[in-house]
Amino acid sequence: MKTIFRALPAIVLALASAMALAQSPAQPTLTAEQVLDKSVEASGGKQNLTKLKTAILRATMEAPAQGLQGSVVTYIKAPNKIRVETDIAGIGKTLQGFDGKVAWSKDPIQGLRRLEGAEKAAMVRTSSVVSTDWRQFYTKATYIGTDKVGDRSVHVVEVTPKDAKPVRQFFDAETFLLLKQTGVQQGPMGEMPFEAFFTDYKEFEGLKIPMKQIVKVGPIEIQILMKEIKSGVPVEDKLFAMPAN
Amino acid sequence: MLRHLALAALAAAALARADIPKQTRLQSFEIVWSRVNDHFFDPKFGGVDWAAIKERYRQKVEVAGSDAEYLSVLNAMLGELPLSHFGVIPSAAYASGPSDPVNGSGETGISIGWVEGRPTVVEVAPGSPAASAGVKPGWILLEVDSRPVAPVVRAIWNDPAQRNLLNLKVAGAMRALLAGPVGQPVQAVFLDGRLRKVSVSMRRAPAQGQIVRFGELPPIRARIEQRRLPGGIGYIRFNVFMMPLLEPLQRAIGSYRGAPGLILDLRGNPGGVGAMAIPIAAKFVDAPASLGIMRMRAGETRFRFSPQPPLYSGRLVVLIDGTSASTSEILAAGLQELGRAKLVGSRTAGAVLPSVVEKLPCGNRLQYAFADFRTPKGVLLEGRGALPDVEVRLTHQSLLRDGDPVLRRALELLRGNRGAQAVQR
Repeated sequence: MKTIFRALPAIVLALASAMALAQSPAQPTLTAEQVLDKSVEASGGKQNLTKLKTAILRATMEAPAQGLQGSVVTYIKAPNKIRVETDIAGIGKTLQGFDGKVAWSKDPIQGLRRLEGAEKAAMVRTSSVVSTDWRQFYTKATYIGTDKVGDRSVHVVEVTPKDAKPVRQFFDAETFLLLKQTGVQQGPMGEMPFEAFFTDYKEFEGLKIPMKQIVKVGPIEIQILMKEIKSGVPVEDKLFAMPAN
Repeated sequence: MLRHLALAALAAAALARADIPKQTRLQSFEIVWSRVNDHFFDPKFGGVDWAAIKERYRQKVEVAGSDAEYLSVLNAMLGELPLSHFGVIPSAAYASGPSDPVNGSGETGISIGWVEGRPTVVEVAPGSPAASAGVKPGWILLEVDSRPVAPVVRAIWNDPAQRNLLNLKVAGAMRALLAGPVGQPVQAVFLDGRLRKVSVSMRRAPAQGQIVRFGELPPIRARIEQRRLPGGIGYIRFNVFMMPLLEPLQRAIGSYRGAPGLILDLRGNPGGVGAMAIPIAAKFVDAPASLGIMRMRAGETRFRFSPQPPLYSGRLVVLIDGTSASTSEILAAGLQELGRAKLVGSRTAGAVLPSVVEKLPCGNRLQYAFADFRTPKGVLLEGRGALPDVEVRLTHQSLLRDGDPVLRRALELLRGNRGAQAVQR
């Protein structure tokens, strides 16, 4: 069960990906690059994204069917530092971070680890929340076509991150907000298919942020609700460094 | 985690009523069927026609009278898949108050096992009411509070799904019979070592250990014990794989660094959080390794790990029997395959399917398996279990003579230089 919760720091992935928005209606001739560029604009655009220097995000998380509850606190410092603290009752606390050079994870099951390969690449992507250049993270982007997420028409783009397997992203055809993401989560214990849904977008200092995220991994459905976002708060660099033990 | 199934017996009285509305029963039934339909790891359901089963059992739910009957219909449907970790736990198992099976219960200190075809005392906890009353390992349990245990055992035997887990089920059922409110006396009748009937009165003492809650599992008393055995050999035992025990367990393992041998006793441990086997194994193995792999309908998880110093690198023996289940089996079989531990005792329960527990609208909880589990060498543990390197067949005589013949054999193994060798990589 524990491994399923490795998906949770994806809350920040959601932010990173969802900080993308545009306003024009669906265009059948769009390319993947155009959709992704529009998504960056949709999330607030380069101007607002680069304004964000530090942020602390607090969310609750819950797997209602299984009675599991917890919290997620994310610390961000531009351009690429991040720390995610996940605390689940009955399991314990997981810390993950990237200080700009070293990606790491510490949890009760695997202990303290320096992340490499796909795991490090994922953490680096996650850390660059304020990046406006998706091209530095994806080696390939392919426009798949149109689809539906609920009652919303979407553009489907498949992106291939460096050192990781492809991920499909479903962007609202009108707003270009990210509504859904599917792929395979790669971790130290293997690969698990996941689906993530992003809803309840709200504007925060010019950025569009999903206040609700639902992640489905196997039989577990996890709801993450954003409770508080603070920006411009002092965040010390040492917070992002890999712990000594 | 199978312990909850024993709690069903405690909840029987509450289930005699018919409090759950029919609509709620049907809604819950739909969820039970759908969860299995959507997540059972084998899309062919092992040859069972799961779609046809839905119609058959829906009709039974519609006509079920009492809540107990409704519950038994749900469990009968899940029983069509002859596997562990499928069941519906009655809501009464979660009640709080004097009848709470965890918070309100007292213990006698007796552990019962299935020995030579009889429910037999296999352990008497030191300092317990049973120890004070003179109860001995090897005695055969006949009655609890004037209630013969034979019909309970027969019911388990007559249920094919339970018969496969006989030792585990008998142990759980007898534990439930012997448990009760703290301070309340319990009268038990045994056959002693000379096959004489002995009636013993015990006043139940508070259950040991901390109460642990994890999701929708029933609350559990979690405890760990450790002691130094003759010759400086370390001994560690814990009764469930729950995360609050992890740090104390790691500390205990660390405290025996340099000891000539260590015994990890997994008898009576029904499992718990599956991934907790990983950080425990990581204290014994000095190179990256895996305990096995769980496969879902889509995706898989490997129980890989790297060493987590400080390590214990001396000889290691793991004690197992038919009441070692689930995560216990994953840990024991994994350490055995890695060549890191010798297993002493008897075959484990063979109940090794990763599962989740979910609350139903009717208040009962559904436990269902969503993956199977194979060892690093590809051995499916469900239905097979972990096999001992040194088998110790318990008899009434060996229990009467040695008290704990399995522990004795483990000590012989470690002292006789025939024990497990630390993995040299």
